[in-house]
Amino acid sequence: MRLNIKNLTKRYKDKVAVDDLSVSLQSGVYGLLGPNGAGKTTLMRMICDLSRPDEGGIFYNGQPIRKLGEEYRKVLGYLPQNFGYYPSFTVRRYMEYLASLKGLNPNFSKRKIDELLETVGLAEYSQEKISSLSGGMRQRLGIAQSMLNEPDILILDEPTVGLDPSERVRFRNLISTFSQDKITILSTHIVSDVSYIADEILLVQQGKLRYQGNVQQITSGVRNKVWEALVENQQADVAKEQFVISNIHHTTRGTVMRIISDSCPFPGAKVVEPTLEDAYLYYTGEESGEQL
Amino acid sequence: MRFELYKIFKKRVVLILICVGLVWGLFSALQPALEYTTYTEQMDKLTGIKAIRYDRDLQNKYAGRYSMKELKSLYKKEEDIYNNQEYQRPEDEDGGYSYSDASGNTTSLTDEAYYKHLNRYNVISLVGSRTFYNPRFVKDLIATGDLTEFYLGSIVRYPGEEKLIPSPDSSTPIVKKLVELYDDLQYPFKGAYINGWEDFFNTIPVFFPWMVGLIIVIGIVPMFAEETSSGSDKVLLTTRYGKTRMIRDKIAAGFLYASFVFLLFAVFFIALYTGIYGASGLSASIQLLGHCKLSPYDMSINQALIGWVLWGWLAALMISAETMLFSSLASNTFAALIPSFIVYIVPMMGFAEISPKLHRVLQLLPVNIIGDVDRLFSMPDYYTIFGSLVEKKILIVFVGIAAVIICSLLSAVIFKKKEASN
Repeated sequence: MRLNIKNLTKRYKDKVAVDDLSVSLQSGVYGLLGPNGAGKTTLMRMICDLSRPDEGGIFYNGQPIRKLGEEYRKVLGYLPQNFGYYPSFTVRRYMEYLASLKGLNPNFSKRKIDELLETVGLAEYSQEKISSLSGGMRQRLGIAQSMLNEPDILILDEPTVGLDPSERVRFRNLISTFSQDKITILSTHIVSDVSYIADEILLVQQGKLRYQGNVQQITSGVRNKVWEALVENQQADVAKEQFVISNIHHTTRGTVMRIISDSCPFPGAKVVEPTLEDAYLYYTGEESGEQL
Repeated sequence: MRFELYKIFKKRVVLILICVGLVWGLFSALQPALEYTTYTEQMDKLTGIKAIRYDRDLQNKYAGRYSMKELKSLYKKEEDIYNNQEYQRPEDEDGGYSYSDASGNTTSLTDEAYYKHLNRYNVISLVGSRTFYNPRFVKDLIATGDLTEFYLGSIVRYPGEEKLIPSPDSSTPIVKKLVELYDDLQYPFKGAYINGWEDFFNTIPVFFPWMVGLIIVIGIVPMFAEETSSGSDKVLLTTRYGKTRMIRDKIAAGFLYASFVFLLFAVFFIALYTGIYGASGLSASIQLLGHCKLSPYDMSINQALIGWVLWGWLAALMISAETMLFSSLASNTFAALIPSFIVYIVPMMGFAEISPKLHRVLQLLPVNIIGDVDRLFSMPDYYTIFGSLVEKKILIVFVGIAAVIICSLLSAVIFKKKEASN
């Protein structure tokens, strides 16, 4: 199973949303990271054939996805960022509707719906109208629908939005179990979600693929560039202007800052082990000068 | 498809409008029926349904198709009563007659004379006048080629439409075709109590375009547009059948909904009027109805109703198809609703004075057909297409089928190709 994205470009008027992006994906979980407006959603929409690229193409097992049409959509599962729902539908009816659109056998779909609703904790709400569900519950319903057809390619855009910490843990476990022998692309702002489950990170910035590698590789790239220093409050204000800061913690002794910098930012600053979040800030914040 | 139908029927506004329509329909049929007043031949006053039943049973004593000889004899009796000087009301100060408060007596006879002697001859009066006077109009037509009498009240209804009457010329193909139709007409006409159906033919042309057509538009307009505005399209279009079967199901559900709404109201009205006035009038010749008095079609009210249901149903499908097209183009329901309303309602306005050609084209659009029970069979309306005369009813079928197919295909392609919402 292979999904090849070749020289993909998408423009909206003057803005280039995705810029000559190429990547080859095989089974595994891919964490798609990037700041707002980096082109993540546009990329995912093109992978889902919801948006046409201006240049380049996407190939599933060597075949253009557009040409595959129904055959491609048969193996696709998608959870968009803001997915619409039908307020008058019950949870089960919504799942049945999508199961019918996914062309699932009625017996299989009944079993699968029960199983997924149980997995996402919505079994007891199956007869409730979607309009009565909380935002987190709707998000779980969205996750459940995306997995109905046991897709080979699962695209999840901000799947953990609205989920509480325990639901996020449950979601991560679900994805880890589900994604064996499948391509799962997970876009999120919550870097920790990705660091736990992603086999590979795709870092996108300004429509380009900025970095590709696993968590160890990406974090090793910023080894000796993450510092921790205890500074006075006045110094902290100056440092905020000068460096990319990944964490600030105020104590009675002063301010403990986690700074991303190629060189030692302060005398006495100690090098610390980088996290994926540090790496993300290094690759995205450094170039743009953003203070995240 | 059941899910697509469920989406339409789960909309509260649709259910409310259907209920409002049914209540309005019930009220518009029942109110005049309940206010109806008559007198028995013994001059006992009757009102409401009882009065209708009494008149119907009395007048239906002369229902049926008579031979010319029988009709002449009965019509003579009726005319003798009508012209009997002893039965006439005294003239009022203005030289006119004061009319009875009873619904049926619109003659110059006193109420007593009317209800005792003339009321029972109502059917004969109608059949006789049409049977004996219609051929005279046809004779004039053959002689002068003047279609004014034939067009007024049938094809020509609104200001400016007089321009649609062709110049008098007995050699024109329209006149020749009409005369041929009159040659095949069977005299005397068949009579029965038709009072309620006259009312039906006045109510439907207003109710159906304003209520039924708009219920169809409002029910269908969110079909594609709401998927786009809510963001559901992103999920739907990535499913296996999201770009194929789902779109087909949506279109089929749209047509099924339009059919359901149209047939629901058509059956409701026919059943309601049959319940109030009885079915006996359905077998009468359409020429007995005021709108169709000069109709050249040899058909009963029953057949006219079947014809209207078929043409009206096609109009309902056309409304559904054009609304789906706007829905597929729009990014939200409101954006689809405005052009759908405009395209639906504007052709109802008269454009005959500005452009008779445009007016004629607009007459083929659904708002002018869906309730056209009074016009469809009142007079054949000929259009000249590439030098040949084509009757409006035939043209409607071609235009309707073409519109349904083209709009459906375009809706499917547009929604499929549309970039999903952000």
